[in-house]
Amino acid sequence: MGVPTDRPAARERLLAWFERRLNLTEIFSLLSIYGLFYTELDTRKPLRQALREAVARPLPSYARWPRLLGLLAVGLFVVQAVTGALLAFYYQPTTEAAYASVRSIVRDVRFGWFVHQIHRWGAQLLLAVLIVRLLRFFYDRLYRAPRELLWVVAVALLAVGIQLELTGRLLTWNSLSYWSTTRGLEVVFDLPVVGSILAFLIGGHEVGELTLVRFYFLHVAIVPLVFAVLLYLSFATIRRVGLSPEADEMGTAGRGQYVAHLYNVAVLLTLIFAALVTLAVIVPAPFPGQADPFATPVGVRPPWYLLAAYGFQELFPTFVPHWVSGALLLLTLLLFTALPFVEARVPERAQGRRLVFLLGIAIFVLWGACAAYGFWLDMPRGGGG
Amino acid sequence: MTETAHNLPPARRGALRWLARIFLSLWGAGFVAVVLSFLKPPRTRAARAGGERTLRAGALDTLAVGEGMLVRHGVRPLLLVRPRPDQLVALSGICTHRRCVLRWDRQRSAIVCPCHAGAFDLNGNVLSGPPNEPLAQYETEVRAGEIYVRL
Amino acid sequence: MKRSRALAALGLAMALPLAGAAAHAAGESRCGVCHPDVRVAFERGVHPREGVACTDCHGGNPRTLEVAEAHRGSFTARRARKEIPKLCASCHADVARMRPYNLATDQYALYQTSRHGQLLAGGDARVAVCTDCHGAHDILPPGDPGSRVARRNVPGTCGRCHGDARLMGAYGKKDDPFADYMKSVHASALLEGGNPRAPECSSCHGVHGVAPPGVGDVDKVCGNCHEPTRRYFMDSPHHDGMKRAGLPECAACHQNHAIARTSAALLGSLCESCHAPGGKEVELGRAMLALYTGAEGEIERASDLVARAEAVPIDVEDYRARLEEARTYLTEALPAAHTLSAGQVEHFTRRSRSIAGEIGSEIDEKLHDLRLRRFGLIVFWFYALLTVAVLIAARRARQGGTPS
Repeated sequence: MGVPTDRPAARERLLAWFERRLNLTEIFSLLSIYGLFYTELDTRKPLRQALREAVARPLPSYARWPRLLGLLAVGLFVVQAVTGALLAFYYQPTTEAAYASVRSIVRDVRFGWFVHQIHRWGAQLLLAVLIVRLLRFFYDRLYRAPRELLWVVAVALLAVGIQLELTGRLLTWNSLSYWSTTRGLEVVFDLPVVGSILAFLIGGHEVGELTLVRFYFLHVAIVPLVFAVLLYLSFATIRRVGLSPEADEMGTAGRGQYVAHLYNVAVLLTLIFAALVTLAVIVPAPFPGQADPFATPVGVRPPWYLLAAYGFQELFPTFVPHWVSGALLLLTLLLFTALPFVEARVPERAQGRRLVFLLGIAIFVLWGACAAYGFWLDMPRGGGG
Repeated sequence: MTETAHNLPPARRGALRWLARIFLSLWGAGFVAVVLSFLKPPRTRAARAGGERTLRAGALDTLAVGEGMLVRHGVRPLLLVRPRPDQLVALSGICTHRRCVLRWDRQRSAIVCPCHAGAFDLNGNVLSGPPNEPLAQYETEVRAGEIYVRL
Repeated sequence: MKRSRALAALGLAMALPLAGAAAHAAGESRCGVCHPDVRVAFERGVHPREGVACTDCHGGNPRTLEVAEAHRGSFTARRARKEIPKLCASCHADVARMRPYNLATDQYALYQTSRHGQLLAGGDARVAVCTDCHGAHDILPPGDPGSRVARRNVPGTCGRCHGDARLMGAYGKKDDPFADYMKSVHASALLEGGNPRAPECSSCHGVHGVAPPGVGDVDKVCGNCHEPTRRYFMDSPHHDGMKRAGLPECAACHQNHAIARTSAALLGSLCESCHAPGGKEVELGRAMLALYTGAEGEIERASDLVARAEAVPIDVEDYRARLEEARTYLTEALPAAHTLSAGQVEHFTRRSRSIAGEIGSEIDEKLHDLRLRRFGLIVFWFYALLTVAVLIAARRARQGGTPS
């Protein structure tokens, strides 16, 4: 093979040196809990042995495309974290300097436009992946016992992801982003309890200096932490309950399976990254002027993921107070989150289950219709209220 | 380590493997290159334009004879001293020992550092104390009663 | 008690209109009963409320309705034209009287130095006197837009005589300054553009001491507004040369009344009206024109590039600001052409060109960057697909089969 014999020996010695002083398996498991393995690593064994055993275990049947959405979400989150960290080396979170610093990143910094665009498109892609994941769980009935937690965490991931996008959007502090954030916040403020908590957290109903500083910290530190914890919970529960609707099928035993799976994951991540780069290069960011709290640009809308909620709220005639539509929305959200428990109450008859499924489809279609309505409302010179 | 049913001879297989590894490591190299060039702060247009930069340091009348004045340019302090009515000296205001900001001592007619008692003369040469390097000197010009320092 | 109160009320009621009428001297006089048109015109003007009455200029008895009684004594129906300036000056040259209104009192003195005043003193009564410009009865101050001597109306007022070919022909004047002025860029600025600072007749000729500026003074008059141009002109050989030749400085090339909007094209065409065609003067004019049009072309190119860049989009805020700077330099180049020195013109056109060139090259760089990025994307896709192929091959190598 032409490989020198003392190289593996040196590596062995180094590993042994560390093994004596640290539990390497435990450290490695901090990474692998994010979907790298479908089983738990045995932290009592030394690293090489634990890995060998984990790799040798048969691969569950669901460890194949398109069942890699969770891993994809992790990959995109890592991309966002890296690009976000790079952007933070130049960004200044004050109302005077925010716009200028972003413009400097895009215009003056080498590859600044690239990092900025990847961060921007990565966020949209991440939200899309989370939505598709939710749909896929619904379609495959993966919310039933014992996978209730999986469903709840998936919904929470989407909600937190939306928070990430909302807080990040404002940071560019240009007229479009400022006003679409304000419009988005208006939608959320109308939710009865959640809205007040949010208003308190971000320092009031007006988007100003304080909001920017708080959004910056939320976006950079707190919400990503919550997101990472939710991701971990998602994989932790998968490790216990698996992702196959029927009883776990064991794939064919053989060590090569897992390695092949790793290669598949690598191919998938490469293609997704290439798609991200393409979007970053081909679709340029517009250059709206600096945010002006006293002038609303024409045709500005709430962010796309809040358009359905916005459309839903606007359906009600004006004499209905806002908290009514907000309460209905919140109720819908809660029902949606508690779907596994709600469905468990439905009698065992097959039609009951099919009904829930059809209901889900109907809700999805309605959601789309509300979103379209919300979009149409703010067409320049077209909207009415 | 590898159980393959490949038809290639071992040597060719090894070479291909190394080729694949080099090819794939280009991703890492590219990533590092992009990150490093991103992190290098860009030169602003003023710096790119090059040429001389003149700093307007205030009116001549605000600097009494025998007094010194600290002038800021960005984060760089400059010390302006007027020993005689018609003489102006502009030196760097940062001590070459440990970067403390210097002061003009009227009694001693020297530029002193409050940190470790280093002292410089009006030409920037070290008089006493721990500093080893002399201070940088800048040209001054007085136009219409305003002091201009050429950086 | 009741009767005395009623009498007091009646007396008060009678006194009020009288008290009011006393404020209006014209109301007290009865002249307006027979001369209602004149009265209406007079009351439109500014004199009645200052206590000037018909009798102050015309004399006579204002309180009677009998014609013979009214027109008795000091009454003068129409003053002789050559008496009018002195009549108006009887109040308007009185410093103490005019002080509360803060009005000048030198009009009569100035008038006597003017062409109008000199001809009048020589016996010619056809020239303008006070009433010709200010009106006889409805006299309004120049600040009132309805006044005949408001800035916008001055050309029309002067033009009543100076645009009358028959009247001017009697003095041997063949040109029509009024018609010429109305064609000019100054007139359109004043009348159409509404610019109150645009010059009209009195701006160059003076108000009461009116006289046309002679050779050697024309540039001083124009230089009141066009100051840098005048300074450049004074540095040029044209200044002394024109004085020696007896040519009116600015008016020799730009006309005195029919001043058209100038453009750089004049540099190529005007020189030949005095200098030999093909001579070095004409060549100099063409050289300056070439400098100007060169810089203008560069600015146009840069402006197009900026528009293209904005469509991409690229941020063009400071490019626009710098383009304005370049255009300002170009605007300064034309007055500099009056020095007749190509070097002076080049001083400005060079700055224009360098700014436009800078903008052009920066935008070119950015557009080039964009193209480079797209090309880089294609290269990147090659690399990505190749990577995918390598990964798949490696996977197969490890397994010897193709589970997918």
